Amino acid sequence: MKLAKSISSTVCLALAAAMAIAVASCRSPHGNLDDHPVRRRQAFRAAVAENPSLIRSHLDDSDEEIRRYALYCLVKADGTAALPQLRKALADSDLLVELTAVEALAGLAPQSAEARALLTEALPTLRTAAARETAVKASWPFHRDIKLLRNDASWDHEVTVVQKIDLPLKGWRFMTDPQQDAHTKNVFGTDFDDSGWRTMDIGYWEFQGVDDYNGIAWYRIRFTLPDKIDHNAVEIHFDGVDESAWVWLNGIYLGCHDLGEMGVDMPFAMDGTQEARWGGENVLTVRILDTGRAGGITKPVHIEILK
Amino acid sequence: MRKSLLPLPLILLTTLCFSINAQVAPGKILAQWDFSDSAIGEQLELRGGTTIIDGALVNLNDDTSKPGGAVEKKRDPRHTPPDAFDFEAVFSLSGAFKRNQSTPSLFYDSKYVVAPNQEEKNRPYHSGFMVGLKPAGAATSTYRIFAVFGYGQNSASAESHVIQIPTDTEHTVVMSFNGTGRVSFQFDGKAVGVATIAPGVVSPAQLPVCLGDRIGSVYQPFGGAIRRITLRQAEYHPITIMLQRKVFERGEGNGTLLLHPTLYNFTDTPLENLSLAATFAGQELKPKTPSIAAHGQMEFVYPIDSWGLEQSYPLEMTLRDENGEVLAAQTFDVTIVPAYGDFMTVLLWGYDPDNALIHDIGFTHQSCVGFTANGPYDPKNRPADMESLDTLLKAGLYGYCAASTKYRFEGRKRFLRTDRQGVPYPRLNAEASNPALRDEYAADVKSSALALGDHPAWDMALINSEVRDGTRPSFGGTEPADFKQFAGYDIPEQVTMKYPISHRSRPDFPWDRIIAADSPEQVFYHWFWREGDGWNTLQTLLSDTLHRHIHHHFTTFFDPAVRVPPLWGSGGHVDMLNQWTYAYPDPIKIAQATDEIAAMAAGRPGQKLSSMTQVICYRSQIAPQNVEVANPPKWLETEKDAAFITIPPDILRIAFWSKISRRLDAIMYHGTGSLLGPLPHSYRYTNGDTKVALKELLNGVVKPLGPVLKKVPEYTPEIAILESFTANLHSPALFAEGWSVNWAADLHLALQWAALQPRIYYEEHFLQDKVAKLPAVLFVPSAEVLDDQILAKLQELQRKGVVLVGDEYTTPALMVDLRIHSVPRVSTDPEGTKKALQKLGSDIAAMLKGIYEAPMKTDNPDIVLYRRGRDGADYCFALNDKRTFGDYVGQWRRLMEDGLPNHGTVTISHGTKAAYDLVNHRSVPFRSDAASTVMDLDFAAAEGKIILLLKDQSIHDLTFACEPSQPAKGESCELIFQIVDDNGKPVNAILPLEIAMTDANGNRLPPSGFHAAVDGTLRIQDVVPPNMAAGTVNVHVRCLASGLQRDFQLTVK
Repeated sequence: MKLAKSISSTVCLALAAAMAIAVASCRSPHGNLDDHPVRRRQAFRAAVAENPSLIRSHLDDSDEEIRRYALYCLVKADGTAALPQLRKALADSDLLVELTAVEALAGLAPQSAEARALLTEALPTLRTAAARETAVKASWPFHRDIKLLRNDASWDHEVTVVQKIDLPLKGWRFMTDPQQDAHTKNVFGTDFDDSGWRTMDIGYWEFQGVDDYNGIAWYRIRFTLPDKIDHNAVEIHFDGVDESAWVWLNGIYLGCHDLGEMGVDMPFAMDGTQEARWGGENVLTVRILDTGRAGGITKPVHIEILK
Repeated sequence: MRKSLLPLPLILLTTLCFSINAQVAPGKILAQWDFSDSAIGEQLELRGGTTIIDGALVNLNDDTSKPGGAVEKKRDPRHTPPDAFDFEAVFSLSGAFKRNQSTPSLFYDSKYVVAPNQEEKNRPYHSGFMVGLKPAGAATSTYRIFAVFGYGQNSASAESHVIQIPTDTEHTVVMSFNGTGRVSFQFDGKAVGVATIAPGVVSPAQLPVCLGDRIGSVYQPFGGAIRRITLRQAEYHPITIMLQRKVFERGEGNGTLLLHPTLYNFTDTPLENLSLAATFAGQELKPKTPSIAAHGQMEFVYPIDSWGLEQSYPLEMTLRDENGEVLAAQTFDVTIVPAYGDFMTVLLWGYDPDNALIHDIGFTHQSCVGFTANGPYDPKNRPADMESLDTLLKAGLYGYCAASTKYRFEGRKRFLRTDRQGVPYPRLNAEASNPALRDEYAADVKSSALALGDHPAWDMALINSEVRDGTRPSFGGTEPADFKQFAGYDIPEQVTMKYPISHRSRPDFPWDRIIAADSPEQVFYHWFWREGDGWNTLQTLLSDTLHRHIHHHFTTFFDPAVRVPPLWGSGGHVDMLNQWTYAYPDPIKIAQATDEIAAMAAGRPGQKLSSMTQVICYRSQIAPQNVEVANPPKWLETEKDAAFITIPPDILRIAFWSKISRRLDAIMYHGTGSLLGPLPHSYRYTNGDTKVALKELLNGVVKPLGPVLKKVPEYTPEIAILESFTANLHSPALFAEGWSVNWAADLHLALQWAALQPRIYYEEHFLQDKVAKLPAVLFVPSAEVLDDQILAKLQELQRKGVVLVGDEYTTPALMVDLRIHSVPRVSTDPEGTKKALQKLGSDIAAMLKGIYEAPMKTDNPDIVLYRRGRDGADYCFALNDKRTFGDYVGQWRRLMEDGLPNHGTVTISHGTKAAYDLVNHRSVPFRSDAASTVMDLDFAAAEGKIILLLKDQSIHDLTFACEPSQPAKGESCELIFQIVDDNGKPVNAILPLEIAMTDANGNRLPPSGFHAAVDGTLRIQDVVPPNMAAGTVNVHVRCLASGLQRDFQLTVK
């Protein structure tokens, strides 16, 4: 739907007034049946179908569905020009209006530094997990392509596993992150103190006392690599997670496995050749997102030393 | 029984202790290996860990890669009995033996290969025989005795029923082989099964006898001690008559059933100028004068009137030579069972050999023979299979057989779905779109139809199960070319999986989550799920193939048919779609699963519907092993390691009422072990009350009311839930592929508890304008992603007055009329979740006030209502879902499994003249005015009710007439039953009737049984049994709505 931006503000105001009268005329003196939200919204839709330019005047409507739809139409029509309205909508009393504003900003973020900045600024105050997840994804500061030796078309040599090191199945440190902001707190750092986190085994967290939790959770494990051996690559292999994973080794971001539900239980690997610490302690940090039912690092993780 | 033979000190002697006797008189010993003297003898040598301990042969080896047993040093041709023989083994099983579930324990082997394949056809594996014990079920003490015989050119096998063999005590097994197609088994003197196999004698063994193990790899060590093995000559009748099919449906073959006795001559002499006399029920049949070649056979056909009384009849046959000497005389019981009636199918998705038990519980179907797992049907199995089908039909049951493309082709790499590199996916799935696969499997299915399709006991075919779960776009076969032909372009590059990557993981996804319906990815996935992966087309092909060659009542079905995104076409053109799910934590979710299957089948009008409940429960979900509880239940003492346990009886009851409230053609149950017990099984039998509950429901409700329940139509829904294909495709985490464990499914429960009677629609219902009347309210849960086509359609529906209710997931592009918020399910708090969902339901009803009023309401949310019906007749289904935690699994607080009594007032928005309780066959008190009806109802725990409300009529009388009024025996007639009001007019409703008719001799007459009188009238076309007693027929009729009964008389000339 396109807003008729050419219509003068005077005409807009006049039509808005007419619309308000039209909506108000649906109401009975007792404010009951004709004041039903369904009737009100039906009247709104009928009115804007007649005159789309009315929508802009409903950004402050008392009805949250109308406000949300007006915001949607505005952004579709105006794009980044709607940023002031989006900023305002981030503070809307209705959580879904807030979410819509975040989603719209996320949609504008690739083209607009201002939209990205607005999202980053808003993140601490966002009130729903969905809004935070959208904002975090849109403003996610970590990026790295996964390059594996086996997939390197220029590597004209046979790749062999010279050593396989299984990481522990038990004793991972674990923390849920419902605010989704732990990545801003260096929880992947080698010096981060995770002693306050609970322990978790490989497997679904739902079966280990974290019932019915959907969202972000973090895992950390410390392990020792042997003294350096001749190699060309070090890879961390995950046999399966539920459902998306972001991985750091010794504080350095390695990449993500984020295919949504379709990525569940799908094996994947990350390259950690530069980050691995030979003959010493290493810290692997994994951020898991689970959006439905059971979640976690559900299958074993191992290191492969490749030659 | 003797005490343990194991373990005792090893004593190895080398004294000959077997004897051989070549006499052929019945009962004579042909060979015997007796180790009671702790001797092995010169003819045998011990292999591997086999030895003699305390007078018994003991194979201490449990490793199937190493040889064991006692083997003949030199093959002795006398150890193949010439014809009929008895095999006897005296033995004990060792409790210490490490049993492998897939490995038999062999007593005796001179055959080596059970079922030689094509490559082995020239090897000597169709000779000799083997006898052993085959593990049955998960328990260590349950087995079947089995035997395999080589006939020279082919082989045949037979096995006993499941038996329990206590370990460390001595037992005796006898296997009797009659050489003409019959094998019987005894265990400790008790008959434990008879099997019909291909007739023939054992071809001389080409390999030496091995006792206590298999002769070659993979070895099958006997798990205990063998004291003695004996072969005895048995009576052999080389000239014999066999009758393959002995049980028929009344009226079969348009009134003429065909008996096909076969005469076998297993002698070396041709037989000529024979005379074959036969009588059927004392009536002489046309004599025959056959001549049969040596080792030949000849089949005869006797046409018999199939309209006779439902009973058994003797077929006596005598074969004489030209001198009048009797060569063979045989009497067979031929049984006529009732004609295929109007009943609701109740299918046990599984198998239990106790047909009587299955029938007694109330099942109408269970698994039967039919398809072969590894290729086309093998005709040598026909005699045994026909007998098996006979047994089923005689027990009052029908069978279904499962065709499995998965098992047939997933072992063959060229038929597997592959990724873009041509590598088969880790989760194997057959490439159903492959033309070669289709042709080959259709030929297999056809061969079964041709071999067994004339037996009416084979009534259903499950065509594949769970095959769409593992599907993925395949790039190895024809699918890329198929798609290009369909779309005009290649499969989009981003396509690798059966769903696209979630939109939440795609930065380039439109922020408002509206995508173009004609985008290549969207076009591909529509194509892929509708036809591209080939499964729907293959289902159609196999179903059509069966129908082309099977001419009696026959139903093909597919399940689980909604384990796919919501898009019409799942299962192709099979006759019936089935869906299963688990009935916890809220058993009324079965109605949600049932509504999903109805939504899927709506794409193919006339397709039948079935709903299946799992009798098993995942222990991890309702009684997790790793959670200790106070006051653990009794079953935990013996089933601590159980992964699956029995569904609680009240949960099964409520789930039953939940699903039969919907119009269905069949109901099914899966989980034989957990239902029937007591044989141990991986599905553990932890609650015997569940079987009792099911029997009560099937016999008390489905049997008498099934014909009516199948026919009472659904009202066009006023409240509906949209399951969007596009939303499902791009946000699979929000959906459940038929598992009924998502927010949209929970919304359905909330609406049920609010008496809003939700049903489910797919996008196609609206896009193709297939809805007879638009719903008043359409819920669009989880509509995160929509395509522009369905978005436009939803906006059009709004313009037409449909109220759209969205949630926090709804795309901002769709302005809904009302918004609700999803209720998170808390698995550790089912009570809290239920209350929250009930509150949501009540809030929704309040939100809709002034917009929509449900036609039927209750003041008690634990009474779940559903209404079906038609002009003038409402069928009100009411079930009591009031539950609490019990002491079966309630200790874990995951499932409120115990029903509680309840009371509620039900109000219906129309006047009523009469109300009837169909379950208890009596009137129901009510208050009514012109605009409403009110009923105060009391419920027992987990009770359901079906109350028929007649708006303008009441049941006043029953009438009966016959045309002609005095039919003669053998004459066609029409029986007319009517249920009439006080004006003598038929009651305008579908009403249950029970009819009992007997002739002058007290014989039960067809059409005795349960029926549905449509529009108050039941007309039955029949033929008067020609063998009934002439004279007065007593006709007793009972209306199962009002309980009214009448007796009539009819004169048969």
